Amino acid sequence: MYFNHPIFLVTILLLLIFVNISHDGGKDLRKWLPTLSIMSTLIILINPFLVSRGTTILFYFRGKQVTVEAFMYGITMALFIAIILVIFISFNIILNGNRFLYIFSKFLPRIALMIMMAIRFVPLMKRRLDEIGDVQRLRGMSMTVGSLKTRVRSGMLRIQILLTWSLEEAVHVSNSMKARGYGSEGKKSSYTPYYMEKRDWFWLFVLASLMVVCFYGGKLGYGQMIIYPELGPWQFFQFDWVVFFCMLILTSFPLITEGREKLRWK
Amino acid sequence: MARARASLIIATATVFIMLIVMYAVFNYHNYLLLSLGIIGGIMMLFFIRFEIKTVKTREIVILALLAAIGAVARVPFAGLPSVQPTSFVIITVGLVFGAESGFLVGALAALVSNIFLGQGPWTPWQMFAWGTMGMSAGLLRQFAGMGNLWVLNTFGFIWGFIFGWMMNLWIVFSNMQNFTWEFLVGIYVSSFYHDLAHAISNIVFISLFSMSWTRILNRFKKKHGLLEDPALNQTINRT
Amino acid sequence: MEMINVNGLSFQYPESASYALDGVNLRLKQGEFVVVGGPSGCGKSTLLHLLKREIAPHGSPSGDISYFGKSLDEWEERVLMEEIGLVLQDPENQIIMDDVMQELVFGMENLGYSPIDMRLRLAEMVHTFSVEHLLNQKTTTLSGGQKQQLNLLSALLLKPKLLLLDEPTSQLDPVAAKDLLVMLERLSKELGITVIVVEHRLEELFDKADRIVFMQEGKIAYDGKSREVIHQVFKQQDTSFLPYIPAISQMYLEMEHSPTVNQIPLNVNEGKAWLASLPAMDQMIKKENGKSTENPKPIIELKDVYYQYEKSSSMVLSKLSLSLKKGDFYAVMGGNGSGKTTLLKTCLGLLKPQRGIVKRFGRKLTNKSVNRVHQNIAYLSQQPHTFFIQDSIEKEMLLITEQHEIQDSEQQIDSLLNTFGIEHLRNRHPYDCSGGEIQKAALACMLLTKPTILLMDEPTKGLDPISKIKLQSILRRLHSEGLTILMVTHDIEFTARIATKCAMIFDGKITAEAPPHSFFKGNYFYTTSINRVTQNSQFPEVLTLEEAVHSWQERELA
Repeated sequence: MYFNHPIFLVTILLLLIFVNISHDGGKDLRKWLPTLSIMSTLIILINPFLVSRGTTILFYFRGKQVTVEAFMYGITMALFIAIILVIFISFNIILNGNRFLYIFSKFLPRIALMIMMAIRFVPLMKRRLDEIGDVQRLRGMSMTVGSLKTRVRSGMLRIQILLTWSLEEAVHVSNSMKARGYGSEGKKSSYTPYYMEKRDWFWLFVLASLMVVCFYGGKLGYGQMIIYPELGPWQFFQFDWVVFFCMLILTSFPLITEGREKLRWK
Repeated sequence: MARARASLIIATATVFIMLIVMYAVFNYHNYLLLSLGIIGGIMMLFFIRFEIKTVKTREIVILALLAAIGAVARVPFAGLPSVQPTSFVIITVGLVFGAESGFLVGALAALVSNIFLGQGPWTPWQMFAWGTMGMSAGLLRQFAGMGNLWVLNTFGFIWGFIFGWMMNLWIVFSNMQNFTWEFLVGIYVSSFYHDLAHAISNIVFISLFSMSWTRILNRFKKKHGLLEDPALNQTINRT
Repeated sequence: MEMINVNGLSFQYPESASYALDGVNLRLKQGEFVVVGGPSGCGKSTLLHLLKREIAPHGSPSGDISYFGKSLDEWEERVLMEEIGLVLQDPENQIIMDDVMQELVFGMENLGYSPIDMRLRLAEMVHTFSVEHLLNQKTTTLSGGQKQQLNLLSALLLKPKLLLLDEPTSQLDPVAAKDLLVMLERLSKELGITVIVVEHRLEELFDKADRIVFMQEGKIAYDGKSREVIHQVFKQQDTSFLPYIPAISQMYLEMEHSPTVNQIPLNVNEGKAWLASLPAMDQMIKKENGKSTENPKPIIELKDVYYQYEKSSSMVLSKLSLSLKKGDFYAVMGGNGSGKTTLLKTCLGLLKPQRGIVKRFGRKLTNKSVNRVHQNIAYLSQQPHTFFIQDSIEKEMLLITEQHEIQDSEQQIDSLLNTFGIEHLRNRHPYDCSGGEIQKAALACMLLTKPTILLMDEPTKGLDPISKIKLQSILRRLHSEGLTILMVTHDIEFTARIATKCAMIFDGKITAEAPPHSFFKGNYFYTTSINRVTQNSQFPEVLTLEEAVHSWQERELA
């Protein structure tokens, strides 16, 4: 946990939620909402009852002290986990499938290719499983009727048929790859539909600088609140504001660029 | 080859530099990132080793295919949520094709299934856990042979738990500052039934299917002369 | 200019006693469009793969293949990779990537082309074949025909001089197959690319090819221009190749008193022209025979069935009614995506319609009964090998007799294997069988439980003409023994020869249902080639070659 000041965390979370909504109208976020809210509530409630650190005692529970500090800590932790999850939801939307493999394929070409192939195989395997399922169900291998053992057995039998079938076909896949020069000597190149332009480099530089400021500030203790042993003041110092604004621009960068596009088209 | 060696050395160095930087910048605070760095580094070493090796095109296809099968193995069991067939696929691959293939298929199966189910901070842990599961299956064959169903079942049963324990680690590490033994025990107790179901389904699959799966994979291996590990063959010839 | 010279090529697979290729000699000029045909296992695929060095099978070759006068081994690896392109049989198995764009550039990336070069070639290719709409799709969303097109395009991006195709249309429906062949013809005519196609489905290809090569048991049996080869095969009445010859050409050769090689019609147009040149005969109305007056019980009945896959998608079946009566051989035909397969799965009880009634043996279908009556129903899918669990056909059959507690199993198995003529496959692994063999084996297994209905999904897909004829006689026999059969298919010729009732599915409904004669005779496009030739001619309208010959002979006698 880097920044732990609740104001910092709440701002980051809100901005990230807006970023997320700008991707797909918050469709994926809504799916995660129940998990997210249950998890956060649990953490906020459980932490003070498990941990009795801190000095400001609210009340005693079964002889254990329940403190404001532990509550606060639970809240920051919940916010932190929520932030991570929201980032990952955005990550899943933006870097769906292969986009991040473009980056990967420069360093680990073979592994990246294997991952891409596996991604391509998954829908194919699912379709084959459907076909196998139809045929086997009519043979009396049901997944819905019978004891747990027979169901487990017939399920794995389907996977086994899939394995035998797909292994046979794999030879053709590799022939098709070799026919198009895979495994030949000489340098490979890669066709990327994504480029770094001048302004991309410029913005990368800006973002990196903001990042450095944030890191440096964090290291000096800005953007952080003392929780244990006693809850520190909420107050922002001068440099806190600097770090806060850097963080603000950093997190809302996607919103700014997307927003500018939107405005232009209005 | 020389260039490949160099990149291996560079990768190892990067891992260590990363660890040192994290140690310095985060002042012991961020155990989650630190742990991710470590398992990421270890996995990277395996990946780079695979990049350097000379591998047949066909072997790449087979490994990708097996990873995909591991990832979709859950589909027929959608109605039986406590059954975890992916582990069985990975263990069998490790047994037949050796430790390295086992690791790759395990790690890739995790990554690929999460592309369809959703990535999260747990992805690297899952990759690591399934990867080491496949790897240890390969090592198991090398040291203990593979004929004995009892050995395999014990192995599968234990791994049912180890997998769950490894996956619990990401929750533990992300709460390191707050670490108490009660917290740790609480997490491990709460995952017990889930882990037990995993362990039992491993036993069921291994006792019902490991013979036929090994036969299918071996038939294919023999037919096309694939993924032969010379060290492995020696042990087989000796026994 | 001579491009390929295969000189005394023999090839033996490891652990095989016989030769896959046995002294093959073949010379190819640049720009030729050559079609290679022959039964499964005749060595045609082996020959094709040996021409592409990277995928040459392991084994012991002897003899020599030279490319532009230099032996294949002496050429630089990279040159051959670029100049010889390859497209394989199953479109699914050649696609490596998830995105169409990535798939297209795969070959160029491997050979290290510069990004600018790749972009240029890509742009050129996309415009020439107008496939812009495919570029940003995922490969899994493409249809079979589009996938095969993609495979062809990604081979073309390396600018090959020689294109090798291994049964490229066998997994496609007729329309997609035709599209692909038209594309090949364009490549040959407009770009001068040399094309070698190994194929089973030759009707269309005889007209397009410059040269036909027939192979048998590792040797070249016939080699020459389309009409010459047709004439020779017919003259020798070579039963192993007669089924490959277009029905129209066969009709000409059967009926013409003094056939000349140059006059042999290869397409409907030429066939019509030839018929018109003959003196007219008076029409004799042929009666539809085999019409039974009795009204047997329906076995499967669908009434006002509606089905959609997702809430938002359109209705695949809408108000569809169908009744399959005992003793029917019912063929459902229709284009891609017309709902044929959905209909079949509804009949099988695999899909539950949103509305409407499905009755089997007079009883309404419930989830429970689907699982109970599987003994009465046999289902031959497009992938017959998905039926097999065991690693040999005999083991599979023994398992079934065990499961269903069938008496004197040994005897039953023997007699079925004999009936299907697959005694020699008894101990074979199901995946080591050819398409026709595995189909027969699956049928034999299913018949162990003595089902009363057989449902088939595209039974002729990927079969060579000989296997098709064998399948036809097996199905006829099963049907005459009382088996009720329902099949969905694209294969017009096959249906015309074998079905007792045909139906067309369109817009989610069965639009026409009739015995094959009345069903096809009214159709303009959707009918057999013989029918298209004889339609509106001064000759009796017939559907199949046998019929044509028969009616002709009747007239000659009269």
